[in-house]
Amino acid sequence: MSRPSPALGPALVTASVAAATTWVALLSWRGLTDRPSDVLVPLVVLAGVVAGVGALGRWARLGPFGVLVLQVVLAGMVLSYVVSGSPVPVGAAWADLRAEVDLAMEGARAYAPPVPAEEADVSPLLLGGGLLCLLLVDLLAAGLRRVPLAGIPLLVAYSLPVGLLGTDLIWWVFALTALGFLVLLFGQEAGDVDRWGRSLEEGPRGASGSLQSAGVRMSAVSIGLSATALAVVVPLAIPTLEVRLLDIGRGGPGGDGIEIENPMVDLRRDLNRGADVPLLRLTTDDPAPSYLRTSVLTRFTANEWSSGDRQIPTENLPDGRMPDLVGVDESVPRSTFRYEVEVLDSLTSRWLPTMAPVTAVRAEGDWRYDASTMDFLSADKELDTAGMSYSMTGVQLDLSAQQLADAPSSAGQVSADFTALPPGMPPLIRQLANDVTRQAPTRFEKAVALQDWFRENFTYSLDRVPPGNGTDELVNFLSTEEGGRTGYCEQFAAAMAVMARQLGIPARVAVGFLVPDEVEDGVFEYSAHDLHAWPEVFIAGAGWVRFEPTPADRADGVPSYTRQSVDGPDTDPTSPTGRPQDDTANPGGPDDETPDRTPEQAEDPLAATQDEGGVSSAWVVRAVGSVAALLLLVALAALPGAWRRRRRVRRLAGDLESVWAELRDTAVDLGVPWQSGRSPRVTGSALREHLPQVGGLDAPRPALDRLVARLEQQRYARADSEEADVTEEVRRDGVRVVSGLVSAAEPRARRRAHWLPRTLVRPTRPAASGSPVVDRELVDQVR
Amino acid sequence: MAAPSADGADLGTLARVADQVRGNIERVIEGKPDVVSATLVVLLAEGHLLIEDVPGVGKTMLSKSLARSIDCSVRRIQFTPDLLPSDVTGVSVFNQDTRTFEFRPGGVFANVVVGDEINRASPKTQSALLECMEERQVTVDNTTYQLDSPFMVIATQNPIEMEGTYALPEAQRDRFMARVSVGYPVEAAELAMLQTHTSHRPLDDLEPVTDAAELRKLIAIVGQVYVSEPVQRYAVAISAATRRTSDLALGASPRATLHLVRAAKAYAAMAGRDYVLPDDVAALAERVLAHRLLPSTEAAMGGRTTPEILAGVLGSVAVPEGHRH
Repeated sequence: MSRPSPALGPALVTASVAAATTWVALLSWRGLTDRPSDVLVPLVVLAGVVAGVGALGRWARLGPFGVLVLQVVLAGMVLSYVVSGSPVPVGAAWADLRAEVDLAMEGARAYAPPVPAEEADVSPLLLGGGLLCLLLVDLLAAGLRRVPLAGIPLLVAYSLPVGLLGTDLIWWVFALTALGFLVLLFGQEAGDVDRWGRSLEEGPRGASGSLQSAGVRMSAVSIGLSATALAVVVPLAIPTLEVRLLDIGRGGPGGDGIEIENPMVDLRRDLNRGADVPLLRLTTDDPAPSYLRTSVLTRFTANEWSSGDRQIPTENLPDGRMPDLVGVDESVPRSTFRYEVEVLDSLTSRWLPTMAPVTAVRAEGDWRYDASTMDFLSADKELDTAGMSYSMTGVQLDLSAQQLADAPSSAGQVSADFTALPPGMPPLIRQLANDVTRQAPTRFEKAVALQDWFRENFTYSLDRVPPGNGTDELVNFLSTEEGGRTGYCEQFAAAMAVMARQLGIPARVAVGFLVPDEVEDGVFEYSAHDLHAWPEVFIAGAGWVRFEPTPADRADGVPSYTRQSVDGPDTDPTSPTGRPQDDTANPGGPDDETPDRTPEQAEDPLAATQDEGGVSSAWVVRAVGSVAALLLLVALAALPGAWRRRRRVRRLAGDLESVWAELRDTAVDLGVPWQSGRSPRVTGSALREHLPQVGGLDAPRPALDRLVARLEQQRYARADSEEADVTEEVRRDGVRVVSGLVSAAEPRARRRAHWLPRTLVRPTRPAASGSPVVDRELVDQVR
Repeated sequence: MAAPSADGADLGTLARVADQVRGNIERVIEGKPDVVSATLVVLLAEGHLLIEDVPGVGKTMLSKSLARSIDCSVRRIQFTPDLLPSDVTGVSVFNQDTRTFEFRPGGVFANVVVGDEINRASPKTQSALLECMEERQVTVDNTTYQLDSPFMVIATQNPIEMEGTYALPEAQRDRFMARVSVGYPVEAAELAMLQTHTSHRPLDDLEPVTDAAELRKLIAIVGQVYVSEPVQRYAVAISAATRRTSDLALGASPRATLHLVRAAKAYAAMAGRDYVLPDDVAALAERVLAHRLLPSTEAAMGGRTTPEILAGVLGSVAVPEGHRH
């Protein structure tokens, strides 16, 4: 079968769509470096080169692999020019290129994405990878016209950030990629049908340039849509990825929300006040009330942590109804307590102090909560906390270290805002974060490592420290020089949150109060010196989890789960719950286990088995996931062939018509022209030419002749002229012809028929289609 | 179709007789097997044959050799501009002896009627013949006379561009089952013809190989050939397609479809089959349909001939794959 030389116009269109689609898919790589334009702009040029060279090469009939070689050479020169400044990497330029690539490799190893471009420019690697994708997609979609296969590199390119970043995928990138893919698929379908389909109903061939009947369009569109739907659904079914491709985010806020000011300033001022005035009184059945949270800081700019530009909808009022706890798994054991709060006149705050997490708040006035942070802010300029009373229901989660360490990726559960950092972060912070957490495999353990590092190596002091939590202050705070490694809660919280974000862990800073003093039975008091700030880290299944990096001088207790071991089940009979020692000095500390805690709740048997052998569960999950994904891909690739073989076996065991249908599909799969809509004799004689010329009764050609004769007899002879049962012979002849066709086909056609049978995407039409409307009367007359 | 099928012996006889007739004709008309075979198909399908070609290529030879191969009554009518309808049908004349009118049969009263140069006669006379062809009877003075069976008219005509001809109207052309053109012989055949035809007249040597009675039997056998529903649909689809295409001003009539299927039955029987294949229909489509079709002005001006258009139409009609039940 000779493939017609494509016209330049359509070839250019196909190649351009393929390149543009790939480039759009590569947009999801933006998060891998902090200067994505260094990668994406050269990729536009590379895409242009690949598309242009590809279209011209195919137009000149160079053959798919000739075109590929040309593309590799030319695009490689462009790439070399971008990376090393010389299009031909010889001599010094070669050394430059090598150095750049080595640097990029090193950078990719040393830094977690987004890699700071100033420290290590990984763009050569990304450019190389992007070029590879461009070449693959162009080869598959435009060169070999196997658009469905081109979906694989597209999907890989698109989903790469999931593995590396663990962040949300961008829905519009997905939509655009899918659109481009559909366009390519449609182009191929239409083209194939043009070449293959019978244009019988439309009059002589050639009269209408291209056959794009509604049916063809429908089948192309339906194939494309099913493929896209699968692409959306399949990742949802794979637990390790948790990709939510179409996560557009929460609904838009109402128009009349309120702006939030920075509460850190208040904290600083109040901490610096000399006298320890009581600020707030709590009456509760909770034996040990925990930290009281005033507000949450979500945004880190180079200058400070702030609460961000949050818009709060009017319906989020503290009327006792609250949304479910964000990200907290149902299975986490919890205790609920009721709190009556009396704010003294001395505390004037436009933020409403609440427990965290909290399930219900009843307060007078226009307080509104932000659903993503669950802090309450006065919407009324005149409204503050001074002298007010309110009630709330708080929840104490009984978190275990094991459960936190086994938590899956939190991708898609929290906004990307919680991992966002300003550009140009000092490398020291990342360096330290990486060093400190090197031994910790999971997010939770990294966070614990950070907390311990702060508590062990830093000094708490209010006096010798300049206030502030911007990048410069944090660098000073983290440095080992004179005046470094000393600070107060603001810096500890800010630094730990920033470092967690550097590691890709969603983190934020909470501002509020330390553990209160019990002034009488069931009444607790928070005072000015209890004002505090601490980091919160998001762990899937547990929600926002509090950490305490501030040293014991100030905050003597750390959350109990950060003291537990995560190295598998504790089989020590003396410690049946596996409950580690809480080093808090306060026996009624905020996170001390509630008395009714049972051993079963402490352990997760699944997690225990996964941790055997000392391998981190996250890595096991990831490895198993990768292997499973690989197996899935292999299985998917083998699926068409397997399906086709199954159908062949079934059909060759059937009656004459099904044997004939199998001959047709085998011919179509092998690229042998099948005269469809012709009589068996015409079709057979055309097929005969493609059978090997071997003598003997068993040879495929006589077998085909017998099949044709039997088919004619079956279809057109009298019904009552039944002959002896010849089914067995028919089946044998069918096998002979099919194997004859296969053996006479070129190896390439054979491989294609094996892996990607055409009849998979172009189902054979039902027999009755295309038959004209029959005038019954006339037929009777003829009879 | 409750009628008994033609059995193997009948089909064998048919094939043998057809081969003998074919052999006879080919002794006179050399190198034209498909023309001869079309002639036989029309004979067995009880149709009439129109032989159209330029003078001197053997139109008359073909018709005469066919007539001679069959031991039956043969009449030859030379159509001229002054030929009268009564010459064809017959006339009642007053017999002075018996003092009654008595009918003198005309040229059509025979098993095989050779109408030579039919388009030289006036339309009126042509009509007289063509009416007999369709009705297989002659009515003169309120008396109807049945014609013998088999009855076959073999008409020859010159292409209408030739001088001194009256073109047959479409309606009358429609009554011929098939039209064949003899065409010029290939050089070798022409050479062979020179050798045989100069020394003696091979037509005179022809002996009849069959007779009217056997022919009637053979025609009955052809009638038993089975036409399956998909094949019927195929024939109808072809006719319908000729009516649809913009290249033809006049498509095939229902009678044309009928003729097509009848001819296909004869063709199948000659091939030893008691059922018709779509291939039989396709093979005969041009012979049976082409002379009835009129190309549209655009197609004619584009230089496209009716056979070309018909080939395109055939290519556009899918063979129904209907299964037999």
